[in-house]
Amino acid sequence: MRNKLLVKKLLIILTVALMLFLVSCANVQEKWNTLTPDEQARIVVDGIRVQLDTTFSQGKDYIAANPQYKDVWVKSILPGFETAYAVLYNTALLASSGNISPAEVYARVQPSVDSVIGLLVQIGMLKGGIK
Amino acid sequence: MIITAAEIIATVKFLLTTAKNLWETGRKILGKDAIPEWDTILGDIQKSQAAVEEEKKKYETPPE
Repeated sequence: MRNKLLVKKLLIILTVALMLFLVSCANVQEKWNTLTPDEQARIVVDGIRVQLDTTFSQGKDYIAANPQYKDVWVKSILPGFETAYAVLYNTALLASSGNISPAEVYARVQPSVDSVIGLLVQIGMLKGGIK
Repeated sequence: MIITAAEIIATVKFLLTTAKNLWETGRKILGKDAIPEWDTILGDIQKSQAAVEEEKKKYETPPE
């Protein structure tokens, strides 16, 4: 009886939390639509740069703790980061002159970011690896 | 498949930082944080490129 009541309370809390989350997502979407293409492109590029930076920093920590993956890190992952940053830089240059849309920015850069993350998954830094 | 503690910690850390990055992006979209200008963005990417270069140098073997 007590457990049922607890489950009910938990369900109510989860439902309210989900509704609040959906409302805030709708607000973000609404606000996003009011931004200029330049502002959108700056947010996309900066967001991807931050994502790459944090992944790179965590990759360094992981290799320090798991030196057996040093070769993969040096031969594949570091060149992968180099490529991803180079693509990001060139895309940012194009976007800053207004030559490509925010959606094109994302489409150009995301594959090289995904490729680096894929390599990190393979060495077990992120789960879903090849163990 | 054996999941090691290091892998779990790394995955949780990755998910938490991804959530934090999303949160910060949301704040920029909502206008609570300023959107960086292109000069700043390009400079930050160059700094990141330099950090990768630095990391590469760490593993380069010195010429004999």
